Amino acid sequence: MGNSVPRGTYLIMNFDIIVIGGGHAGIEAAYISSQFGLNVGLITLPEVKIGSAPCNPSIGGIGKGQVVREIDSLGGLMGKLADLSGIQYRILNDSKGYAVQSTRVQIDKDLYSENAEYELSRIDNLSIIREKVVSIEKSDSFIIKTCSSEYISKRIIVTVGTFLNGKIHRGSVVSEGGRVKTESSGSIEDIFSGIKIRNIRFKTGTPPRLKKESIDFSKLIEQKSDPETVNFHIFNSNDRKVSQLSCFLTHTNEKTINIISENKEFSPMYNGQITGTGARYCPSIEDKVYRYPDKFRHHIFVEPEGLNTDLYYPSGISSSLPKEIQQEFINTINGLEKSEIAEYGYAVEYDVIDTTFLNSGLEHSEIPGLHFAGQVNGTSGYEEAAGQGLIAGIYSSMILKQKEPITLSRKDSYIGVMIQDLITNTRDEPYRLFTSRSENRLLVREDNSHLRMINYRKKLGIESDLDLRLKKLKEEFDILVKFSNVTELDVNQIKAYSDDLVLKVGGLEKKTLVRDILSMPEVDPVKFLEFLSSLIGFNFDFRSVRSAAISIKYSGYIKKNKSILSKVDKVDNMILDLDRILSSENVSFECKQRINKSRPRLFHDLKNINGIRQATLAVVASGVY
Amino acid sequence: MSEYFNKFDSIIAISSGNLSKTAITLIRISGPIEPDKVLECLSISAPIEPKRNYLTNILDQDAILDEIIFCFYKGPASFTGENVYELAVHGNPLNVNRIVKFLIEKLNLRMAGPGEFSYRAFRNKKVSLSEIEGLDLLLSSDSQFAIDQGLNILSGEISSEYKLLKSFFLDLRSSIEILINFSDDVGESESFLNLKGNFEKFFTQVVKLHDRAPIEPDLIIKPKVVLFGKPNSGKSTLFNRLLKKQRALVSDTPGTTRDYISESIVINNVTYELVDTAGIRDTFDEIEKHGIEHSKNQLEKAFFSIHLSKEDVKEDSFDLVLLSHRDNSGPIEPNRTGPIEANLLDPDLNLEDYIFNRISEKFIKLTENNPIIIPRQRDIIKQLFKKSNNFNDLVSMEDDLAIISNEIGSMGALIEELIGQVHPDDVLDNIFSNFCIGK
Ligand SMILES: Cc1cc2nc3c(=O)[nH]c(=O)nc-3n(C[C@H](O)[C@H](O)[C@H](O)COP(=O)(O)OP(=O)(O)OC[C@H]3O[C@@H](n4cnc5c(N)ncnc54)[C@H](O)[C@@H]3O)c2cc1C
Repeated sequence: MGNSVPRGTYLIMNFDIIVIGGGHAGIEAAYISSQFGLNVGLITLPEVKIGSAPCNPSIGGIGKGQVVREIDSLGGLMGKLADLSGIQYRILNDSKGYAVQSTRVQIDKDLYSENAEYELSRIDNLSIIREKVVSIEKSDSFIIKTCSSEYISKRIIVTVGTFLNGKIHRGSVVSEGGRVKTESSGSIEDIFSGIKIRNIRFKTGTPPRLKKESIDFSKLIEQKSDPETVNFHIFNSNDRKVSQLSCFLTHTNEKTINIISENKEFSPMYNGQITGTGARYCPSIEDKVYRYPDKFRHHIFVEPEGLNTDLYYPSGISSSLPKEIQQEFINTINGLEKSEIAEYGYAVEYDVIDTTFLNSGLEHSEIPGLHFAGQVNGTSGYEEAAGQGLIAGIYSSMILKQKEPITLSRKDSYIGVMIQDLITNTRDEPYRLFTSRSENRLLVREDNSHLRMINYRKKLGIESDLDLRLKKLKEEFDILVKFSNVTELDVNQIKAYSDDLVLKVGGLEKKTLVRDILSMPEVDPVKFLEFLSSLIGFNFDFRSVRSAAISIKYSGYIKKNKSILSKVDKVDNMILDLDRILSSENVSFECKQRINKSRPRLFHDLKNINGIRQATLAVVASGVY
Repeated sequence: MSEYFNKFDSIIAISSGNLSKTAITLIRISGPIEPDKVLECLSISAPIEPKRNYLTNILDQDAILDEIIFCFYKGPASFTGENVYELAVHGNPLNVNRIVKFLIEKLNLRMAGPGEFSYRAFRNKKVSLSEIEGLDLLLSSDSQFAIDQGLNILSGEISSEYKLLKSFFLDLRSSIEILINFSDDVGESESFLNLKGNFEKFFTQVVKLHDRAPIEPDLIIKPKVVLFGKPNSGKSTLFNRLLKKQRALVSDTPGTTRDYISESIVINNVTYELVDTAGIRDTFDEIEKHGIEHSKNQLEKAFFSIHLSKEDVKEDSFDLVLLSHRDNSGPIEPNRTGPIEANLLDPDLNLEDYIFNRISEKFIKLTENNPIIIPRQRDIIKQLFKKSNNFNDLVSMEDDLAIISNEIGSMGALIEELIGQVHPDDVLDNIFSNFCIGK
């Protein structure tokens, strides 16, 4: 059993790494660090469950599914936890092409937290400490103080989410807290003087939760769990760990919209009470109504929060309007006419760190050994938080183990895209991963996440079952690709699969390479390769068949992209001479300030800095400083 | 250009008009020089308002040098980003030179080098990336057309077309992203329609640019007027006549014609290279063979081709056919097309003006829609055209959105080369500001 530190006794303890915050970022950071054999402490607020999901009850989604699988293959927890508590599976973009498909899993929130707690507490070299951190100081090591104890650690990872100066808004009622029913963490200045936050605050919100028995499900459109969807965790096939539930769909209507429009003055978002910036991709229902007054029909997914809970989460109507108004507009919605609210919606405003001070391991450039990960870095979403926590954990563990830390490239991972985006720029709104942020969407897919991560994982130097599993899958993949590149099929063999296909392939005497069949637009490569491998008797994991088939289908395009990207690369990978740029008369003062702050290493980083002028790029690219 | 880099002094240049012809010439000054100083040589006194035209005199102590229109643009809101003064003076070259000389001495100015004003605009971030290309063109070329186009890019005519292309592309990129990421919010069929509509708009713009890139740049940058014909068809005679005539037009020194194979001639401010294909080698049989080969080659590169012949010819691949065997010349009215009959030895025949006119007309016609001549840009536009032409086929065959979006992405790479980055944040920004999206 892991150490659970009892509250109330004054202690001084030493750790290699201390993680502050037990959210999605924190648990990944703590877990992976413990896998390096380091002595890890996880300090988190007593009133907040570990790995809790304060908003939507789901993990994954477009772009995010890829992140979950990347985390999983690097040895993180999220995929495993999602499977253990997954109550509904879906593939998004099912019919739009393999490269843009993503998995989303509805989770039982309580189960998720319980499993997170179980996974962490059974690790001997990891201690969970349920206390509030009140101060951090740095001398040789970091000294972290709570009300009752003092902890000393070589490195720390701060993952306090929405808790920095957190403020909850519900109508005109404002309270302190990182979420409803919790306290806030005060300001970072109070806890750790010297760390600068950004001068804008971010805001996020959540919808009211509805009581199950008050919903008329017969009026809603049901969406069942999809049995085919591949589980997140690389050791799981597609059997489910718990029983499956449905989600439901309904819509707002003119009446709903009218109520919201009439009450604009009571909306903290619009009457000036909230100054923080919310994400435009994650608008509250107020945002939607005030910005698009002519649109009456907004969809609402009604999602269960768990197997045994009574709560449903209506996705799409996050709101911080006063309680009565929330109740009123909810009851205009088809199927929710009699709905009772168990927990009202609210918005939370919080401080964020300036991530341009962080390096690729999310370590602060001015305070070595201090990392920030998760929502405190201005991102939103569980998966984004988890990915950052994992990277911060890996990086600081590798430093302590005196290894060269890995950096995930944006070319082959979404986590790499995210980290690079974060550290080169500050954003005006919370950052979320979208697949369009990757230049390499055909390569950075869900089905091959394990293949993309295998080399990174190897470098961690942790040897476990996971590494054996990855190695096996990679071998199978290689065999299948080789097989497809050299094997020719004749018409009769193809006929066994489909008569239609024979017509497409043409001539009777003609033999066709498996590879070429897999890349035909009218062929589903996965089904075809599955058919062939079972015919031949390959007893391979279906993950291998999928990833091989899809990789082959896209290989022509990927190769072409590579040559385009490598052309761009030449300039992009140019290492910058910052001293020259900063002393150049041809670079404006403003650009210099931005450059000085985020200290880009490559031309690509420079290009991605917000507000960098074309002229500056031209000056740097052409070398006429 | 590099000699300008570290100079921050005030410079002066004669900015417009052909010295000999225009009635008004614009003199420009740019640099740190303050208005008070400049006003010392004018008859108006401070304070003056920026961007206002003043009718005033330019004074050398008490003597009036000229009556001028004066305008002050305060930096950084001027086109170079520095203080700029414009003086519209009377266009007589002697007058202009006298004033410039006076101002240089009095105000301690320096004569600007070619393109130095534009360079300053660039240095002060007044022009964008593709506009810089215009600057390059301007600084590196000695052809009038290239200079004009350089100015054109700088002044934004071409780059505004590129900007339009980029904004259509942004919409196209956005619509595929909507299909992939937000079709739940926007609606599946609406998203598809959106993609289709945006592609149409984008494609139209690509076609528009492609139409402007058909001409080999060399044809306009160094246009050649080439004389073809068998030995003794009168090529050299015509060559010398044309040369002599234009020399007489542009300078007072009497032309000495020489037996050169090619010579520069200037017609309506455009410099052409006049080429006699076989020239003095006519008499040598051996070389004559080479000459013919060479001639065919020349025909392809010719901007304007003239075929001289003693017999009737039915050739239409030449711009002009000249039948030179006649003793009597046929009628030559200005808008005549088809073969011309001419006695090249008739000194009174005004053949030259006719030919010059025809050449000018062709030049004007080719350049009137301002063709894009920077090779790199032409190349990109051609590639874009090919790709977008294939795009429709792809969409009809392939329902894998990842592949479709990949093709759009590769067009994006070309557009980035043309006009700078299309950042994913721009795409997302475009989506979020135009569509209601989100859970
Ligand atoms: C109301 C709300 C609505 C949201 N809506 C959305 C949404 O619509 N879409 C979306 O993508 N994401 C949303 N999110 C974001 C998502 O929940 C987060 O991105 C994710 O949970 C962040 O994980 P984290 O680990 O960074 O931080 P959290 O999960 O917030 O974890 C922070 C942890 O730090 C601990 N902590 C804080 N201060 C201290 C201290 N002083 N001492 C010790 N421990 C401390 C807390 O106990 C907590 O465990 C929402 C979040 C909230 C709160």
